[in-house]
Amino acid sequence: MVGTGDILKFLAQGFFYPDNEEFIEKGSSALLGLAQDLKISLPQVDKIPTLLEHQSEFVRLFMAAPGGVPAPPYASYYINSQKLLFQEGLEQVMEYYQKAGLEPASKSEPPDHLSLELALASHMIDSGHFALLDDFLHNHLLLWYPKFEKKLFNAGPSWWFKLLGQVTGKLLKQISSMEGGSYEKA
Amino acid sequence: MRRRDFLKLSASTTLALASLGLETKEGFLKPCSTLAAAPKSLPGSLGAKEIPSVCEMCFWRCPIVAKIKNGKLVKIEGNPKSPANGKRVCARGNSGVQLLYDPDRLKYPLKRTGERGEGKWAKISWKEALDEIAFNMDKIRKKYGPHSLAFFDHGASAEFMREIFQALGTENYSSEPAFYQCVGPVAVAYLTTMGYVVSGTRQYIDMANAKAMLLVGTHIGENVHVSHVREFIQGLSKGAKLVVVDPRFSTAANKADIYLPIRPGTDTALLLAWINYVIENKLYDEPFVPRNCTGFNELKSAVKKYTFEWAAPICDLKIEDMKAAIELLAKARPNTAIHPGRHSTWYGRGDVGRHHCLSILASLFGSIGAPGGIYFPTPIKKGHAHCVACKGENEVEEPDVSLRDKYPFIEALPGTPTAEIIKATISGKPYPIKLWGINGVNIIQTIPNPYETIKAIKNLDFIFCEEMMPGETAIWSDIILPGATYLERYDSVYTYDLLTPYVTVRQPVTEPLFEVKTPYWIAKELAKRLNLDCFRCGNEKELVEEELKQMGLSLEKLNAEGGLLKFKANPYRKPDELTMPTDTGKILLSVPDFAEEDLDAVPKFVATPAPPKGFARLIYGRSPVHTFSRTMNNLWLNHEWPENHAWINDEVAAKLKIQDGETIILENEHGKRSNPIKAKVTPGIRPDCIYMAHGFGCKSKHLTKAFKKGASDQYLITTYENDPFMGASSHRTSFVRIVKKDVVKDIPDLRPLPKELPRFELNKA
Repeated sequence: MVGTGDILKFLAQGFFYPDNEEFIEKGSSALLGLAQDLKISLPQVDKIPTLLEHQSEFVRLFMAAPGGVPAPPYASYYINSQKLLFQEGLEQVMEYYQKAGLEPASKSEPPDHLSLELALASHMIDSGHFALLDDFLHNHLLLWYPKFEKKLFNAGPSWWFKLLGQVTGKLLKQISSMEGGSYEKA
Repeated sequence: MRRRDFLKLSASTTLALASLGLETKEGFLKPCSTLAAAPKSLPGSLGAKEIPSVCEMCFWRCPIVAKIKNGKLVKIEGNPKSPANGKRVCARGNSGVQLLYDPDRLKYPLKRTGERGEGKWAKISWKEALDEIAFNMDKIRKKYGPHSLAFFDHGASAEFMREIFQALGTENYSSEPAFYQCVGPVAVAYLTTMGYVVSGTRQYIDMANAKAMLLVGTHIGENVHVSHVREFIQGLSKGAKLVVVDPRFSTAANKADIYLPIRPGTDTALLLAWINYVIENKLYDEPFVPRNCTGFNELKSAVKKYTFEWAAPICDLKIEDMKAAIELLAKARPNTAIHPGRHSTWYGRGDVGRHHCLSILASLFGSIGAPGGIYFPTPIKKGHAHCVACKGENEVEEPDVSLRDKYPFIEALPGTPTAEIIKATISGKPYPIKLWGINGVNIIQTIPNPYETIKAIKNLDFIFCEEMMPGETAIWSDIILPGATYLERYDSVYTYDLLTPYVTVRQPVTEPLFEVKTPYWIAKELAKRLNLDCFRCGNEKELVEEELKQMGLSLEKLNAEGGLLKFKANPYRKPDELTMPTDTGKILLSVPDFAEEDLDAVPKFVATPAPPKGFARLIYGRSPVHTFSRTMNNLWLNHEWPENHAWINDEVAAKLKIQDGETIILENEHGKRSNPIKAKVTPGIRPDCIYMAHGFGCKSKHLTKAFKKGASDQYLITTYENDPFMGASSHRTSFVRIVKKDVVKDIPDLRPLPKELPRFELNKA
């Protein structure tokens, strides 16, 4: 059974640097399916990007591009008034990592990278830390994700990343709009 | 409804997600072992952990203390233990925080996926990046020979990579713009005449104890090196008189007792006339000169013709002002600080001669080894880490025709003139150059005629760089290696041998962020792939410990002392005990070795071409809050000084109807145009030149804060000549006129031009 935590894991993977073709192919179907299930209008899909195309687009959107990185995927960038990295956004999320008893497995990205934050949300769901999840979404992730999403759209991303941004945005909004505790009534 | 599965997925979506095997994939997170949430703590930097280190926002390397809270750098201050800067850092030193956390910085190894220079990249692993560089180095070396590899380097981060290029046998293992675009001529002049580099990275000039000082085109206060500026101010505050020679009323000129607004390109004429006047009027130190100098008689007869009457129209100065200035300087001897200058690559042929003149003047005043004059470094014996050098490394075998051949006084210096590497890369002569490595220097914003540099880059089979920010040079690279900033690494032990000697160490204040790596790690990994037996220390910390051990120190001991140990200075010598580190033990007023190479044993005035009709000479300088182009994207510094201005003489501006603050464009003698730049209309600049601060006008779209801010002087410097002594490229040999609203406006001739100064010929441009 595929649960909400698994969807967030997939989205986390989608915002991480792509390193295999298979994920892009299979991920495309998953992404299109999720969009349909979330009632997001589907884009015109001409082709599935190759790994190199996908990597180049990823670098352009999130790492290095003429005009500057269009959509830095770090909480600190949006939460700090000077748009610096490793600032308040990171300090905020570290409190949630500590409460969840987790830390990033690798140091190649700071803990406030979008992928890691989605993975953290996924863990909170899978482990039933719903109150913490509410707190995390309302008081951290959703404070900056919409700004990130806006920047991502403004950069004219490939259909893949545009849809990834939309699906993530809508899903997070839906999770956060569920009243605390209601999830246990099923 | 359950949050775990509230979303009703279609069967196809479920299938697609399930097929990804996400549950078996290695996770992004692991159980917490080290991460600690930020405790609620005192505001600002209060209560922060302090780590002593060394700044590298510029090359002056002030000792600093980094303040760390919750693993985050929150503030940088000067190291209070430092006798040079104390608790002070300059604006740039303070802004290292912004370099470390700049969202634009390079974070991962990148490989070009579009056209060279297009700025399209894929992220790659370190393994792939280093494998590819090693493969190309090896392939190109085997195909074209060792000299087909060239390395442009600057600063501490480049030291290890330089070892690799040297071990691979290329004569082009170092090509430092810091030398060939800056200190080369002054270093050669003093090394030859006094036996040591009075002015290179450092200037051994005792301004704090001077009774009079001379600055020729030196902009102290605009080029801010904290201890140097402090000494300058100390000298002035104790009553030192100041003479400033500069076509522009600089910050230093503002403090001058006598300001001489000289015609650009004629400084040597003034200096020769002064030397003649000092000799003719016996203003020199009579016991000092015969005892400590050689070549006085040759000097005396060679300069006889250079009178004030001859110099006045050339320099466009009044005789009484020239005379008053030299008498003021002579009166203070031997405590006269004749500043040797630093950035000396101005006009090409005459550059070594100009600094030779300054060396002569200081010597005539007997101010060598005297308080307030030129002093001697206090060497601190630094340990040598044997683990760095490459085993089996041989002397570089020179090619049949070397790129160094044309320059007889390059011998004592490493590497190859930048201009020669660029020309050979374009022409393939005298041998092909097919691969460039670049570390720590933005060559496109540093070397004259960037159009030629880019042309050369297009000719290469491969180019890679190790950089921190995606500046112009990085975007032209095939592979970019993200290097650790000075705040994320150890560097070799650092000794300061000026008036307040000390030893200190740069040490990391944070782990390298993202996927950046330290220069030592990068060089070690690359060396392995090239089968070079170099860098046998496990890491740079071991290297530093090995160096310190030989000094009877360790990092622990040094840090217990606040990260810095002071030594007693020995800067002065009594005139009758003075032995110079030259072959004769004396100062060479006339240099026979120069004559043997058909160069001037005693400097002569050789006119540099005056501006062609309708043009002004382009001159440039520094902004006090920036280090060339490399700090332009720093948010705090960018806020302080986001763009440069074109200084235009007020009379010229009035004739051309240009208002202060109005946006103009500059066009040079080759028709190359600048970015739009605001005019600064001022009487503080001569009418025959236009000035702008260097480093602005960023062309890299990857630098969000710096892009297109102000204009680049470098992109307007397309005429240059090479100094015949050591091959430095001239920077003040280009000319500009003004374009306003698409109308080209010729610069009016407001100062008479004597016949001794021929104009630059536009048809030869």
